[in-house]
Amino acid sequence: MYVPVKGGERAIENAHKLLAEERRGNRDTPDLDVAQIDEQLALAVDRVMTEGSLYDRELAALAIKQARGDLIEAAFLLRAFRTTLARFGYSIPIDTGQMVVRRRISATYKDLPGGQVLGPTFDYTHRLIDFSLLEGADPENLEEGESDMGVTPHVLNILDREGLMEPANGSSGAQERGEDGEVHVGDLTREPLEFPADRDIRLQRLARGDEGFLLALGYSTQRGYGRNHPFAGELRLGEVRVGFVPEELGFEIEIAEITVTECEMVNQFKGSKNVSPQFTRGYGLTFGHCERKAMSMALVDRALRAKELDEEVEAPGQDEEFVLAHADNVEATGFVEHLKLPHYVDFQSELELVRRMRAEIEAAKVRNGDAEQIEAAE
Amino acid sequence: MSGLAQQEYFAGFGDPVHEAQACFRSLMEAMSRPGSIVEVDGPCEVPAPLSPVMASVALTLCDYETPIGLVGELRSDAVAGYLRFHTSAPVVDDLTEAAFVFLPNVSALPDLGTMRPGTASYPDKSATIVIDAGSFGTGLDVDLSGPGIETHVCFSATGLDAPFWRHAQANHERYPLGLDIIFCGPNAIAALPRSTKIEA
Amino acid sequence: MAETSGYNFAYLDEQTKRMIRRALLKAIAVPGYQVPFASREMPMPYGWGTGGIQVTASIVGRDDVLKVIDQGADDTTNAVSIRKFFKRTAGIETTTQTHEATIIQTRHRIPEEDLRADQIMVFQVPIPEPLRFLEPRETETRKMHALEEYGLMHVKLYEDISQHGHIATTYAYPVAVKQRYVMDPSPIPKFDNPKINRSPALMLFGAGREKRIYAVPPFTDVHSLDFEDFPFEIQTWREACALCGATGSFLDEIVTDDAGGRMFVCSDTDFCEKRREAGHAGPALAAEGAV
Repeated sequence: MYVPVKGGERAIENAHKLLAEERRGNRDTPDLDVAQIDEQLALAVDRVMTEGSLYDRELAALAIKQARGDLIEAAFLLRAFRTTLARFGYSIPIDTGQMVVRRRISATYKDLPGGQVLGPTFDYTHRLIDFSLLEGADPENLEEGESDMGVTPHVLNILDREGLMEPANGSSGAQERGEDGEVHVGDLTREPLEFPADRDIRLQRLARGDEGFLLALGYSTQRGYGRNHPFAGELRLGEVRVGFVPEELGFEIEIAEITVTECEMVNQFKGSKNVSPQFTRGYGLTFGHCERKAMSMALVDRALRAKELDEEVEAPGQDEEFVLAHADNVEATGFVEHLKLPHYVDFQSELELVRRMRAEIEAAKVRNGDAEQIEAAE
Repeated sequence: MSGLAQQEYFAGFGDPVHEAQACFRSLMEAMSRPGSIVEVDGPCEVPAPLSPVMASVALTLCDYETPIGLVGELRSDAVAGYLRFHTSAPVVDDLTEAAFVFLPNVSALPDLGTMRPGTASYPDKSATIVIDAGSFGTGLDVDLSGPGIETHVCFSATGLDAPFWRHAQANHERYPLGLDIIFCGPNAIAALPRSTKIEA
Repeated sequence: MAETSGYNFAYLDEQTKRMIRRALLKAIAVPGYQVPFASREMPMPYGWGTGGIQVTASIVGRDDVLKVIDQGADDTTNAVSIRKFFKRTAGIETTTQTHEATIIQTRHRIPEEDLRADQIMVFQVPIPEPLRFLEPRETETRKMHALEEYGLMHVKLYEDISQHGHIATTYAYPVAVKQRYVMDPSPIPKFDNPKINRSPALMLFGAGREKRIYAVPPFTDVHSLDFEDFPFEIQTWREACALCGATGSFLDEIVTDDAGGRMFVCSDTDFCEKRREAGHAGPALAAEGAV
């Protein structure tokens, strides 16, 4: 005899216990050290900080441990934690021109002030699995070389000085200046996303957006879906200081030093034989070292500027609503995975209709004198 | 009064979390059942001519995201200072920027065209007017109907006169645009959303 | 804000509650219109009811009694999880009994029992925009609502009738509110639509991922879209509830064996239990001789 199943609460408790057990895995294997994740899986930590929208390496590493290596789950943990934090205000915008650069390349010039610095990169490695890593052999000690990079000016300034590059801010479609002459920047975490969205909100949305989604969209623009002729004007990685002016003090103090990756693309020039052409920009910025994301973000940023640059919106990568509505992987995974929740009531409604329609078709067949044929077949 | 050497300090909610929640439930009840009189408490002492009930509404709904306009005798340093201190809401002179407009009485009602009625795409981006309406249940009777009201309800307040109700009906005719109104009494509130039809 | 020592009452910080409360008041003033709000990231994923949870968290007080249901049942896993969340962060009383509740948070059903004026329904909404599957762009749908241009919807319903002989929408069935806004009542079966029309209770709708709040005040006209020659109809069953014998409630289909055996049981678990306590018995119970 059917008895309605109870015990949902106990089922959940047991599921959580089982999850904790699986997360720990074989007890003979040493428990993961959060510091090891921070140091040796640093790029995972960087991605989680970027998509979690929170700069805290230890927290991101802990989230990765708790999430058993699922990076979107880890980003979600960071986002939920971020919601609970007290807000003090907004920092001074970081000045990447003052960055202490560890890696800096430009595809647009062979050589340039500050030089090309490869830094720590996979770019020229041969993708051969290194089995020595199984034994945990430490690499050779590095020789300390000359380290003054000095302050390295942005490559795009070179083009800018010649008038070849559109200005960085105040370009067409940018935000209005307020009474105080300042451009007011929106805050995506305090206002719901509305369309059309200005560039400040678009960039915020892309910065915390899913790397894979932006990678695919950026790739599509290179293959002709809204092509914008990109060149990597500059990619730089390094540390910047974060300044803040507390109301009680009235002057700026340094509150942190963070690592960021910045990519500036040089894109299709805008102009004609009558209007002096200038190259256009695409911009990408991430926490930590996330080159693929920074570059993809710059490609998509430029693609989304289509309307403001009087270009036809023809491709998915240029479709502002499509890109921005689906860029956030925490939102996306929530909705996709929610299909696992019970939907049996709605399904029951569909079943009822489908059964009814099928019955009507059968009844119609009978009325049309197919009855004889059915009897004969039996 | 000029010449005061120091500002008197007036407290806000004693228990901000629960008092704001209670006041909000009253506001939600009043707005979803227009014409109902719903009890509201307020902090004991507030700078005149702000009333405890009106202060309660402000403390519950206003903050740094909601510019507020003060009209008539409410435009005083004491009232503005109190509201700025307890809610961090910016006090604005231009009523078209205000999310909330506080009025000491109905005669201070500015031209409705000077306040935000919302837009066709975003009717929610409209101002809310908070008026000190005197006592409920006496005064010019009007008949209210519409969402929240089963059939009709009779409503009056000493401070609300015929010209006011003409403005209110004109406001209703702009539905879904329009302003929403909260009436403050001595120890209760009532509300008039733009969806309510008014008949004299 | 949440410290390591504890949470703010009902988890959300006061500024977030104020922002949501303001949105709720505007939603009530314009019934059926979707108010954008700055939805926060909650500890549950988007899709698990964060909109409903934020609405409940913004309205709940110490003296409220909360009921949470999913598919009409109190004991489905997500309803259990949400109830536990509010017990932990607000310390309020919770219940499985509809008549005891002052706030009822629901996913996909409205209780069978008549609601009262002192009760508030909070619906969890996945896609708040009734026109979304006809027009994916928010920029376009917002204009349609502004201009009261709902032709796209009427055409869709009409085409359903031409093709299927029926309107093919069986849940999240669109309604017209106060003869003005077309609204999605959330994925409740169309069976439940009549309960929203002129209810004594206030109905609030929260969509966390899509960041929209909307409302239907009590005693508001809510009409399911239809045509004069194809009037709106709710679902019916030939069977009664196997446990309590009810013939007018929404029934879940339970598959009992591989040979196509099935029975039908009330989706609203509290309603069914109350009927059984009052002595009603359906065919399965009667057959067992149990009461």
